[in-house]
Amino acid sequence: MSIQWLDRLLNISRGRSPWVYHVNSGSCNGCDIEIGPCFCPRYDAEQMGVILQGSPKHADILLITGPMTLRTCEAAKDIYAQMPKPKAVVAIGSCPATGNVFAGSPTVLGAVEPYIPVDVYVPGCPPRPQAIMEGIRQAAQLLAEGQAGKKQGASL
Amino acid sequence: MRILNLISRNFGKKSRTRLPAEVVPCPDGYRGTLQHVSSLCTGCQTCAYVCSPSAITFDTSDPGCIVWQYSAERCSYCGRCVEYCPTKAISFMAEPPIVTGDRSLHRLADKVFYQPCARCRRPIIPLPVPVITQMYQDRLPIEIKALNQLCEKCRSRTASEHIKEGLTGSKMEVNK
Amino acid sequence: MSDWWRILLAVFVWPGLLGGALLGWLFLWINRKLMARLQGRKGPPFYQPFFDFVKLMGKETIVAGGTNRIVFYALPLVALISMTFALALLPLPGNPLHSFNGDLILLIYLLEMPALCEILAGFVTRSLYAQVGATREAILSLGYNVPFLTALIALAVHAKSSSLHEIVTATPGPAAVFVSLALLLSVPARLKSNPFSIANAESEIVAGILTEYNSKPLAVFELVHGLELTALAGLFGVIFLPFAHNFMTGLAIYILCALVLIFLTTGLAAATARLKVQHAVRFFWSWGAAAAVLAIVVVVFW
Repeated sequence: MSIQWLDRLLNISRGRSPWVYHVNSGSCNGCDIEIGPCFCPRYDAEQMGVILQGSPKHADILLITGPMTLRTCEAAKDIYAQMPKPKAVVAIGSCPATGNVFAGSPTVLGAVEPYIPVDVYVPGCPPRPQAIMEGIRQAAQLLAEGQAGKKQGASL
Repeated sequence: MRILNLISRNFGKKSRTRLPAEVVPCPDGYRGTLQHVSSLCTGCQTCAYVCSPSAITFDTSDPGCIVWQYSAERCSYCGRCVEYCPTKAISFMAEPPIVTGDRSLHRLADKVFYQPCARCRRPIIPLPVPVITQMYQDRLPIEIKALNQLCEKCRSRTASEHIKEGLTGSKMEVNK
Repeated sequence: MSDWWRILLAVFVWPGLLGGALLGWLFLWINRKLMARLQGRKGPPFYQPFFDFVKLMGKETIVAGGTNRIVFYALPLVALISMTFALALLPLPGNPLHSFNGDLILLIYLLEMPALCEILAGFVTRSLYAQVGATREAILSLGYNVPFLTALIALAVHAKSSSLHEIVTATPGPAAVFVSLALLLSVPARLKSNPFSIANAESEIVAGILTEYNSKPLAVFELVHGLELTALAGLFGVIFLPFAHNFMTGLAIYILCALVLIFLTTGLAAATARLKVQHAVRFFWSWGAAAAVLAIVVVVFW
């Protein structure tokens, strides 16, 4: 049984309180360095309600940087599975989208898409902090509309 | 006690946070997303050759045109294509690539149409007029304009005819 | 009003769950906004803690393997129930419940329960990070309880009664200053804010005690944190400020006192770094114990 106003309140709250967890699945650290300023005074992400959490169980949005590598594949899939639904994934940089310059290397599996479904892509090498915040905002909007994870057919 | 000074100063002033909507404009020379002008492109494929992550590819399957394909998701924004393009057909837009969940918006394709050679009708891409005007400026000789529409083989044939003319003083018959 | 109605009103409406939650969210927001401003940032909008709570209630719960599900779900509920009853016992202005003899002891016991529940929560989830956080919280509680309990006992000795109403209406003497000093020392440690935030040391031990907690149990623990802020501010406010018979005056004094406490705590948290647990305990067993002994001496001999 679903009450309409309760559903609406839940959706609004999911968009207003996107908690974020960052995982580096083989990045060169350029994109990780650009995530840092998002939480510093100039581009404060807390004004959107974003908190960088320490545990994936506390987070709604996964920020993934770097291509999928052999070493981190199982760990990244575990972290994604540990996040409670509803969840969204933001791929930051060119590496999680296609592997960028690292594609074709024997230890790099390339794009994260076959392993973890991605909702928003933020291209750039590295992207600007404003672009990362725009990506988080779009993922929060997807969560508020209930459209996160629908692309790959994953049930909410 | 310097930390107390610092936090009391922060408390007194307004915060220096920008709203998410107030985007800082990109500086001049910012390596943002690429733009490709097909009227300046000669299809030499140098950009595809120097592209580090193979973000630029050329599709040569269509007999009427050559297609310049670019993936903003594969690009590392290094600038080698802009640096090596001989006709400056590729340049950076001073704005970053868009953030979206729709991957098709990150792929660009631009067609450069072949033109038939004026003499042998083989498909070529002639040197673009803006490039010629930049190379020769005011001193554009009439012969260059005629040569522009010829393919490489016809150009070398015309050049060898001129040499023979100069050596023997006689005009050769034009025979295919 | 019959006794049962009075109890229900005190526990669920004011100053219990509803009133405590609303005030707790307000104080949590003031804490976060002030911390942001002291760091030069903008900070979250005022509805943030409420939406955080609602969002957490709407997520699915993941229970790690090997965890005892009954204890996992029961611990936040026990913490919430004890915190709500502790709030209902406080002689806040407009509290329908009447104070009875010995309710100070009951209040002390109820205020200890959330800390105990968090320590147990760290061990029930079998995560290494949570166990380290729980151990640190347990050791820290040995520290901050020295000034905290001694201050409350000194209050009871001063008022010659263990009923909260008697303590509140007793004439405040110079003892109140020393007792409040001892209480103030223990407040940052109870709230787990810098420099005593060793228990939920983010990114050092992942997320501390609540690493494996998520969605609804986590929402309840966060609500308990807000209620704890309200209760500590209430303890501080109504005990040390003159008892006002008018409801609005008393409420205004209470909120003012709570704001002062939050300003002090947040200012301290913004200005200091985290102490290691052995240094924190050494601080409490030296300065905290000195403040406690001073409070007892002043109360007994003055």
